[in-house]
Order: sequence, then C-alpha cells, then structure tokens
Amino acid sequence: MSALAAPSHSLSGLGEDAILIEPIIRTTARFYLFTGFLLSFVLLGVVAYVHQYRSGLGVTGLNRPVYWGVYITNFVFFIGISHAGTLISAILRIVGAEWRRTITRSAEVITVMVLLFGVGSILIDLGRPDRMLNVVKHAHLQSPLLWDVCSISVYLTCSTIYLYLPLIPDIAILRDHTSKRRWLYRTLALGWKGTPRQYRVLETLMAVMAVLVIPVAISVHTVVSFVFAMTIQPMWHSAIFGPFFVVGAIFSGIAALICAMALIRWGYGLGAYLKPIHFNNLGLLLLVMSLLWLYFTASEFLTTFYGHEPSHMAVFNAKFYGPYAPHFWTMCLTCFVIPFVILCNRKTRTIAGTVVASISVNIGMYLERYIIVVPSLSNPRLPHEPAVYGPTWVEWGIFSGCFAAFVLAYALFTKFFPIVSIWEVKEGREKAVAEVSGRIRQYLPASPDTPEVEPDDEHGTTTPMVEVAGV
Amino acid sequence: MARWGMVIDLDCCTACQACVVACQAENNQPPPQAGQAQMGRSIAWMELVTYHEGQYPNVKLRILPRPCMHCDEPPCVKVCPVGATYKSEEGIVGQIFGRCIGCRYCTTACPYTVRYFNWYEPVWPEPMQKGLNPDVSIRPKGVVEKCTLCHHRLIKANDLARYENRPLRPGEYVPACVESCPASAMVFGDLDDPESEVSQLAHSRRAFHLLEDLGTEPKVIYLQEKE
Amino acid sequence: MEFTRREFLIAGGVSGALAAQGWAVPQVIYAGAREGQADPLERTVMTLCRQCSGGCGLKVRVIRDCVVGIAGNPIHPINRGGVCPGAPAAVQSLYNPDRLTQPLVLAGPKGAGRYQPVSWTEAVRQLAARLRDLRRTTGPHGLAVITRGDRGLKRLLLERFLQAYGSNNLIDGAAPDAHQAYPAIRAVQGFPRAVGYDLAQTRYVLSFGSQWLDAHWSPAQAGATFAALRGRDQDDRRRFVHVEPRLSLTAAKADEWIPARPGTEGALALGLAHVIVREGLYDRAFVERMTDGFEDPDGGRGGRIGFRRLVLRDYAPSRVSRITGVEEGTIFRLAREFTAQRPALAIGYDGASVSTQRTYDRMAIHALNALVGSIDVAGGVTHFRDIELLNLPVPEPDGPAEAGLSKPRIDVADPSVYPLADCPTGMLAERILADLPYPIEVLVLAGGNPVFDSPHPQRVQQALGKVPLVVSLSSWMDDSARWADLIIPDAHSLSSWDVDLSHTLTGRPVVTTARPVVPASAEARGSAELILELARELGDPVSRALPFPTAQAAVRAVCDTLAASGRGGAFGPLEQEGWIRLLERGGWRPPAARSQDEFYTKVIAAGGWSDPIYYDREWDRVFRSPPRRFAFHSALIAQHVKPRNEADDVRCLPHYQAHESGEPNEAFPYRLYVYPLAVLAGMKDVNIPWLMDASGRLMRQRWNTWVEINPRTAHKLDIADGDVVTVASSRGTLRLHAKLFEGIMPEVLAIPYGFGHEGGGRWCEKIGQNPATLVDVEIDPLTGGPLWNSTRVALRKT
Repeated sequence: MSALAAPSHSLSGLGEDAILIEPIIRTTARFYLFTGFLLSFVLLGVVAYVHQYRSGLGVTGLNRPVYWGVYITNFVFFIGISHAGTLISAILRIVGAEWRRTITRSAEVITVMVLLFGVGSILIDLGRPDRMLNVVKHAHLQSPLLWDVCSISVYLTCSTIYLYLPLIPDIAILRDHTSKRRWLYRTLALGWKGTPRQYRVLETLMAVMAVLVIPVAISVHTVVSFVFAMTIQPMWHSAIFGPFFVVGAIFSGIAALICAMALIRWGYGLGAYLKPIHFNNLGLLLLVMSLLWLYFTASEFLTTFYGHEPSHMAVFNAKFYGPYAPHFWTMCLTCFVIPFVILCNRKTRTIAGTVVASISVNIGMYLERYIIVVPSLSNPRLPHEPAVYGPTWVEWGIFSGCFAAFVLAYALFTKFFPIVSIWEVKEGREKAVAEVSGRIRQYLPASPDTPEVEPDDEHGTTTPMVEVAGV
Repeated sequence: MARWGMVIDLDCCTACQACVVACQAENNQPPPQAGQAQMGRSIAWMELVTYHEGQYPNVKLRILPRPCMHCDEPPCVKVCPVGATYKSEEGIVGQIFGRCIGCRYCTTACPYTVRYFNWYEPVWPEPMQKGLNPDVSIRPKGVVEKCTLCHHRLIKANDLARYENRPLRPGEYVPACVESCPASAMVFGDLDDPESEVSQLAHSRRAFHLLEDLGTEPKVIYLQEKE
Repeated sequence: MEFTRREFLIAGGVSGALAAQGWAVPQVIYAGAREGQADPLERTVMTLCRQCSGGCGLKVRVIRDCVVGIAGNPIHPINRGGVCPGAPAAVQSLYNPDRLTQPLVLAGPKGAGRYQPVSWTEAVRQLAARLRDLRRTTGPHGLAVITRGDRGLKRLLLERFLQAYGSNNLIDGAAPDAHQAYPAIRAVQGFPRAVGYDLAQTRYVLSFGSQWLDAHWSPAQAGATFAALRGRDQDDRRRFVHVEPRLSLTAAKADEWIPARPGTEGALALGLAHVIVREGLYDRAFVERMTDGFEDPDGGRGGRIGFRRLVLRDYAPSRVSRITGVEEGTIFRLAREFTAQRPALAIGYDGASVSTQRTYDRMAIHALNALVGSIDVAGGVTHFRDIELLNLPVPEPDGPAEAGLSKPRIDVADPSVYPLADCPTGMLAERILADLPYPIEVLVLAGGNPVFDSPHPQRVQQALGKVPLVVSLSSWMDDSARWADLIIPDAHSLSSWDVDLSHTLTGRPVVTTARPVVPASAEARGSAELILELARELGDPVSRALPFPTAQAAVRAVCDTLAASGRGGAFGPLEQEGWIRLLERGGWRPPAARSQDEFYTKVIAAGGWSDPIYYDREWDRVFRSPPRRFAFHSALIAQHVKPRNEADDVRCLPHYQAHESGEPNEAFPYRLYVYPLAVLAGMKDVNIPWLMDASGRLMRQRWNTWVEINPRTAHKLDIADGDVVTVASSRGTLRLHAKLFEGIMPEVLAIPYGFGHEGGGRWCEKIGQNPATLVDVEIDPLTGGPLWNSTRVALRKT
C-alpha cells in the first residue's frame, strides 16, 4: 500500500462520500505506526507458536485435568465475537432498519476476520497440528467437534459471501475511481455495471443470504456450546448452554462492533457516517443483551445451586468463592453492572459511554468463556490433587498475537475496501427517505386526503442507482 | 466373544501402588520429572485416587486404584473427532496413537480423568531406553494415551492360542497391574463367562461402579470394603 | 528358557497386529535387538529383588541382554508372584542415568564433590594398601563397615572378612530383619533373632504404631498377608485395630483407628494389660506355665513388684487415658476385644528406620501377646528359623586380628548405663566424633545412606569428615557418598551374583538366589566381588577365610550347604511345599536332588530355596534367656540392674516413661511426628522417578514435602491448605507446604520422611525437605539408641 494520491477528478464524482475511499488511497504515518505496533504482537504470537510447535503443548500451563485453557477460551470468544457481524447485519437488513447502512460492512468484516482466528485457535490448541487433515480423512461425525468443523465452515463461507455481495458495487466504484490495484478490483467487481438487472439479482441474493446466514450463525454458537454441553462434566452438561452461548456471542459481538466502529470513526474521521445515534442504537441493543445475559446467567447458576449436586457445586463454589471468584465477580461487574449503569442512562449512552461499556463487556465475556472452560476441568468428579492452571507467556503471546492479527487484518481490509458501504449510504440518502415515509404511511390508517400508495420497489430502488453507476 | 473386565476388591487393596508402577513399566510410560510432575503432568495409566471422609477422630481414608474404566458406553469415544479412540469388539477402549490429533476432547469428556496427554516428546535419558518394553509402542508428543488393558498381552496370548490351535484359556491374558498385585485384590477375566471368577465377583453384593449414576457402564468393577 | 519358533512368531505377531491396528510402531521397539544375531530373542530369569530388604523373588523378562519387564516370581514363598512398586521400578534403577559406573577418588576437600574417575582394579588396590597399612600401624579395629539390613552374600563375606582382618565393627545401620523389636524380644525372651507375626492366621490384630502397610520390611508379603487377614480366599474377615497419632495408610486400612499421642503406645498397652489382668481375661495356663515375673518376685512378701501388681497399681485406664488421649471406654473395649478371640496379635515394631517406640514400650506391647498366649503358635508371634548358609570353619585370627577382635564394637553404648547396649545404637556419629571407644581410621559405607537415615544429619556429615578414609560402595552420589574419599560403586543387583536369607511372616527361612541377568560393567562390579578381590589383595589370613574365586563360587557354596542340610528344597508350587512339609514332619528327607549339581541348577532356575516347615511351641528355641520362659520381668535387664527393690523391678518390667523433653510448652506447642513415606520407605534406590511420583499420591501431593496439620489447629493459626508455613524445633527450621488433614491429632504435626536428599541423582536431589534436621532425639534408656518422635515444635504461617 503506497500513499499515492489517486486522480482527484474521479473522486469528485463520489461527492461527499469521497472520504469513504480516502483510507484506500491515502495511508498516514499514524497507520504505519499502528500497523507496526500490531505487527510486534503478531510477531510475538508467531514466536510463541513456533516455540510451542517445536516443543509441544508442554510450554503452556495446561495439565491434567485442566486440559483446555486459554486457547479454547480464545476459540469460544472469537467465535462469539463473530456474531457481531453477519447476524446483526442480517437482522437489521431484514427488518429494514435504516440506521444500519453505515455499520453493516464493518460488522460483516468482523465476522469473517475473527472466524479465521476462532478456527485458528482450535488448530493452535491441537497437540498434532500436522495431523489436522485427519479430521477430514477419518471424520467421526459423532463428535461435536466435527459439528463445529462443519458449521463453522458453512458459516465462514456464508459470511464471506454475505460480506462480498454488498461489496461488489463498492468494488466497482473503486475500479472506476482509483488507479490502484485495478486488476484486483476488476476481477472482484465481476463486471458490475450497476444495471437494474444486476441490482435486482444482487438484492435477491443479499436477501437470501441474510435469511440463510441467521440460522447458520445461531447454529455455530449452539454447536460451540455443544462441545461442552455434550460431555457429562459438571456445569458443562447443561441444556441452556446453546441459547446461553448464542446470547453471549451476540452480546460480545455487539460490543466488539461498537469498539470497531469507534476505532474507524476516530481513525478515519468518519464522524459524519458513524454518528452518536448509531452508538445509541447499538448501545440500546447491548443493554438488552446485557439483561438477557443476566437472565441466562442467573438461570444457569440458580438451577445448579438448587440442584446442589456435589460435583456441580464444586465448580459452582470454585466460581463463587474459590480460586475463580475474582474472575466470576469481575465478570458480573463488567458484563452487567458497568454496561447497565452506563447504557440505561441516556446521558451516558454517548459514544464514549458505549465504548467504555463495550470494552467492559468484552473483558467480561472473555472472563466468562474462561470460567466456563477452566473451573469445570479443575474440579473433576473424582478427587484429584489441587489443579492449578495459569497461562504461560506462550499462551498470552499467542492470544495477543491472534488479537493483534485480527485487528491488523481488519485494518488492512479498510485499506482495500471501503469500510462503510458507499452505495448503500447513497441509496439510503437518495431513496430511503421516500421509502421509509411510504412505509410509515402504510403502518397508519389512511387519512381521507391522501390516497393509499403501493410502493413500487423496483422503480424506487433502481432509479438513483443508475445515476450513481453512470457517473 | 469375550468381554474383558476387572474386579478390584477394595477390602484387600493396601494402596501399595505396585499396580501403578507395574503399569508404567509395562506400557513404556516416560519417567516423570519434578517440575512437570508438580504441574500434574506425570503419566500413570493406573493411578491411586484417595479421599478423606469425616472429621477427626472419625476419619476414613478411601483409596481406589483407578485404571481406565473401559466403559461400555464410553464418553470419550463419542467425542473423538477422528475416531482415534474406539471400543473394540471385546470391549477394550483403545487409542490409536498414530491417528490422534491431540485435541484433548476425550480427556475433558472422560469423567474419570484417566486419559493422559504427551505434553512434550517423552524422554528416556540414556540408558533408560534399554528398559523399554518392545511389545508396546512409545507415544510421540502431542497425542493422548490411556490404559489399553495391556492389549498387547491379549494379542500375544491370542497368537499363541491360535498357533496351538486351541481357545484362549482363562488366566492366560492378564494385564500387568493385575499380575503385580501382592494382595491379589484384582481379578481379571471375561465378564460374559458366568463361570469366571471375575463375573461372579462382579455380581456380588459388594460390587459397585465408579460414578455409577453417569451410566457409562464401566467394565472395571469395585468391591466395597466390608464392614 | 530357550528361544523357540513359537516365541518368534509371537513377537512378529505383536508388531504386525499393532501395525494392523493403525498403531505407530516406532523404531525404539526391539531396543535390544540387533540385526543378524541368533541368540534367544527373549528369556525369563528368576532372581532376587534388592530394592528393599524384603527378599522377594523376581521374574525378569530379558530381551537381548536388556531387562524389559519385571514381575514377581510366582513360586516364591514370600511374594507368590506379587510385587511392591519397587520391583517393576528396578528397571529405572538398573538403567538410571545417574547411576555411578566407575570408581571415583576424591580430588579436593571433603564434601566439595570433586572426584576423579579411577579404574576398579586401581581403586581396590588403593583400598587394600590402606587396609594393609592400618593393620600394621594402629590396628585392624580402626576399620568399621556400615551395612543396612544385608543378610545375603555381602554380609556373609563381610563377616568372615572382618573376622579374619580383625575388626568387630560390622555395623548394621538399620537392620530391618532384626527390626526395632529386636531388643525388646531379646529382653523378654532372650531370642536373638527377629520375630514374625502370623497375620494370615490370627483372629484379631492390634497394631501399635506399626505402619506395616506403609513401610513393612517386606511390602509384598505384607500385602498378601493383609489380603489373607481380610478373608480374600475364605470368607473369614478378621478385625484389625490400629493405634497411631496419625491416620497412616495402615490406620486407614484398619477397621478402627485409635489416635494416641506420640510415644504413649506403651502406656496404652499397659492400660490394656491392666484391664485384662483385672478382669482375669488372660490365658491363665500360658501365663502360669510359660511366663516369669508375672507375680511379685519374692512371693508377695513386699518390697518387690511383678507385672501383675505393676499394671494394676500404675496403669488404671483413667491414668492411661490422660497419658495417651484415648478414652477410658475405648481402653476397656479394646482389652475385651483383644482377649475375646484367640489367637490375637499385638504388633509393636516399626518396619522403617524412623522409630517411635522405646524398648520398654515394645516390651509392654509384646507382653500383651504373652497374656493371650500368642507366643509361637499359629496366628501368633513366630520366631524365625535358622538355616546355615556357609559351612566353613571360623577363620583363625592371626596376632593383629586377635588384638583387633578383643576391642569392643564402636557402635554399642556403654553397657554399664544401658542394659541392652549390645544392640546397634544408631548413634555412631556421636561416638566417632568423640573417639569412643577409639578412633576410626577407615569407614566403609557398604549399604544405606547414614547422612540421610540418621537424625541430626549434620553430625553424621561431621563424623564422615573426621574419619581419615571414608569409602562408599553406593551406586549413587548420595548424601553420604558426597563425604567419601573413595567411591567404589556397587553393581546393580540384576547384574551380580547374590544370595539372600529372608523369612516368611510364618517364620520359615527362604533363601533367594540372584544371578546376573544383564552383564555388569568391568568398572562397577558387585560388592561381593569387591570383598573377594580385596581379600586376595590383602593375602593371608584374610584371603584364606574367603576361598572363593568369584561371587558365583560363593553362591554355589551356599547352595551346596543348603543341599547338605537335608531340609526343604527349591521353590515350587504350594502343593510341592505341602509334600515337602509332610515328608519332613514324618522324619523323611525331602527329595532334593540326586547331585549337588542338579540341586544347584534347580535352585537357580526356581530362584531359590525354602524350608516350608515351622514347628509351633518350640519353647527351647524361642525362650533362650535363663528362666526359659517368657520373662515379663526381664532377666537380661536384671543382670545389669540387679534388682533389690520395687524401683529396680520397674526397670526390669515394661513400664511407661514420659518424654524426657517434657510436654509441649508455649515456645514449642506441638509434638512432631515423623513418619516413613509409603512407597519410598525402605527403598535402597530412591532416584527412581516412578517411585518419587507415587510417593505423594496418598496425600495428593506432588514432589514436595508437606506438614500435616489438623484443620482445627490450622484454623487457630489462620493457615489454609497449601500455605507455606515454617516448622521450628530447637534444632532447626523448615519451610513446608501446609496440608490440612483430619487424620492427625490436633496437638501433633506430621512430616513425611523420605524427601530432601542432598545428592543421589536428578529425581531425588533437592526435592522436598528432610525432617531429620528438625528431630531432637531422645536416648532409649535400655539400648542407648535414638528415639525420633519426641521433638517439640512450633508452627508459624509465613
């Protein structure tokens, strides 16, 4: 990526949205600094992994019976965050929430990028990564881990398509407006010309994908939870785990999205596109999810407590009073108290407020994943020597490496493609107002002086676009 | 087809741990090292489980030698993504070291925590390799291993019986732990043979399974202490 | 065993089957197999286990000169195919990377650990030169040899060697065969050997601090006996009660655990005796006919006291309860239980070197056996039968030897102070440091590890530093070898010739033979070979006393002696034993063999020889002291005390004495209880990772030393499980992990003994702590030996 200035004449055609492709054509020193910063962590992660690959998983703090630790936590956490994107964007698209237009892209990118690290975490956790193809060669479909493999691959495919489809018109814009990487954009634009037929096909495909991706997304996190719930281990073997994990995933996903949006807004000066109202709306969603999270957590622990089965109570006690109490109570604080206090008050539901709440939620959700994985394992059913698990530098190195690589990949995406959907913004600006007012009229009883209007979708959506494409 | 099983009489067991070490020697389990062992990484397919009950002075120490239970409904087999752990026709839950990808799902799914992982490449300092049992393959780093009921002894005994053109005789195939027990607290044999000592003991009134309520149907049966 | 086509097929079949199963068949398998060799692929050898002193028989699986598996010899009368963890772990001892393989000469100051390798022949030559010199100058008595529970070839040869050389100083550091009960049994019966307890046939067992399941001198035999006691074979479960301050493994396996304060077990036994005597529950016939000193010695004319009046006067359950912490009701109940079913057994020895009981306590416990007539009957106390191993004339000492032999042994205490002083004291270090009774010039450590095995390790180090020449025959650079001037490492028992005399708990002699299973290296030969070579180097008269060219020849001589005895035979199945027993009882000679050669071959192939017969009630054999009866009032002690009044009588009778150190006080509020750690107890080689790993499992600890604290005590001091605490005595301080344990008396702290070596190899060095550094010993008033568990300590959280 060079900081070559693109021909200014072509930019002018984008009007006020030119700022959206600014990051693609111009790269600031600040970005290089940021990249360097992230790269150093990625390097740490690579060094840590090479060390682990050569020596064995012994370099981690894992032991018997705590066979799973930070890597599996990362896996669940990253897969959880992946729900930010596709799921939220799909739901918002289906319900026709107009405020979605500037945020869907940034959400979808999170999904695709972070999924890679979710899958990667599992591979990092393998004792024999060299044999990972055995999963295909000797696939044993009875194993919930294989359900994961299937459902994550489908999700990754769907999410990538779902990210790619709405990108096509924007790629075409890039093809037409910039001189950089023309071959790339030309290939990826698939000969997009913006014809009404193309739009119709695109819209249909997007609608299909939006519907399709929701059950897949839900299944992914359900299946992730099944990895735990299908065993008979104390406090894993729980029917609530599926929905509990899905809620947790959406919860952490929204929080991750808010953080990402804030970063983009601040980094690229997109205050005009990512407005307080977006943060406010997402903040409200986050508030709802935090309450849902509380509901599920409470059900989970109350059920365990009332059942009072000794092996379950050992885990329960470890979380409430034992060695995992700091994690547990911090989680309660960061997943509920902090976001609730900030988000239920309109005065604090500002950009800064929602970002603080989101960071807090992400910390909390990481802790939650950790205390789902570790305490159950360190309190096995049969008596055992006190099991102490503490992650080593390798595990933290790999975690920070993965996280940095994810952020880096995200940042690089913004250098290749507009992180705010240009055509959708345009479409919204040019046609949504009419459409929405029409829709609103539909909801209300017809007033005697205005005749009932049947919205003409085809006409309404295509006309302005032709203009855009024609520039 | 035999259904191999083991009965452990807790009334006779003295917790001497001969079975533990005999198993380690027979099955080429690597020598533990202090630091690794303190982290809980030493490998002992047969291990002593102890727990204390009651308060001073009415305290009872319960001791269980615990091999793999060789469940008829093994939770570990269900979860293995590559079928590296399996239940054989004769009921032995085995592990294919060459196929295991080291995801450790089976180790977390096993309610008895009897599955072990090779955190590093196992090391036998010179000249300890000389003492390795040639009948048992050593495991590379990164795979899960577990009690096989000394499966290699079964293969050997079967080969001998086949060579001599006769059925396998009772007592011909016995795992190392059972062989070593000075108190003869362990009895091994075919659970489906109503004549065998093991199946008779398995039906005694003292017989119980470890974590019976989980429905794993272990083929290791304990006889509780007499009062 | 010959290599057959069949076996070859099996071996091939295994690897094939493994491969078929998809198992990786690595290159290391068939480690011993080299291409193009036609020797037997696999053979099985019956030999002797030398990991501890139990004398078990092993069945060793050998493939091309590599030991690849060790199980029990199924026809060995002691272990019958079973083993303890030590046996399979012997592979790790044999092939241990830290095993010394060449003699070493000190090359720097003592204790600094700098050594130079030297050839075996050179090392022997140097030692011989020094011994020759010593004999000429200050006299041969300046040589002392420490062994540890050896009864085999090494001991036989050493005895003859020292007799011919002229030194009495063959010191058994911890004679497990003689146990600690030895002085007590001698005091009351005059029986000079160890006794066994016929646990398999008894009806009731009351064990006083005897951790016979944690630390028996023969763990495999203890296990088998326990199973018999539990009715493993016939549905006939016998009751077993254990008294100890701590819930040891033995206590846990007992039907009832009775906590009693450390060092008060004798008082409890006397309390039981009180109840038994008062309620007339004892075996009148036995007590009247076969005992002495039960009634007052002067016929009740006053001024003198016997056992009956002593226990009735001094050991009322109320007082005993105050001393021991055991409830009065329990004392009554135990006494009645103990006498209700006969034969009943009271066990009082400690299998391990960590001794808790005074000789008087053991006499009191043993007196219970006499009260119920359990002496030399089936299910009672058995007395080991003798068998002569070498039929050679006693070596005739020359002038210097005679002079040397006239000197007293260095390890015995002053007999004018200690009536049973001719037993080993374990106080060797103090005596060497004080030149009592004369300086030691050459000290050979031929077994054991005195720096680690003794209380006050620093004093032993000082003593080793003081002796001009310390020679260690240890195979390890252990705590004691580090202080040696010359180390001539012993070969592993699996690569040397040996015989071992042991006994079953039923008192029957068992001789186990050992032969090299794998070849020894030229630079580390067996100690029998060393003694023979040394004798040859020294020449007459020593070489004349040991007329064997090799250790194998000595083993052959032992077999010939056994053949000539006309007793017993090579090991065989139980039926064969029954047949021999029948013949011997009928006065026939068992059909041993047609020739000495055949006898030898049979014995070596079977792994040993045993005489399966035991005659009950051989009173002449078991009561050796003057009254030829069981002496409640010890005649042996009376010889020294010459009793004239009640106080003198009490010194001859079993009685309770409070700790010299006094009761716990404010500065040191707790009593320290050092106990032998199961698995490691009695093991000669401890640098064995599997054993180290297994040793902590009972307490769920891993490779460290912990202090067991009753939760009530811990609560008072705000100590949580796993906290680091300091335990301090007047002698030292240790930092340990706290282990909260309901199985320890609240006023007692327990620390396991077995960790904390300063040398010996990567798996035992600097692992954990040695509680011996805390122990403040008290001296036994009869033997002058040390008592470990009277130390008072303080506990602090750090």
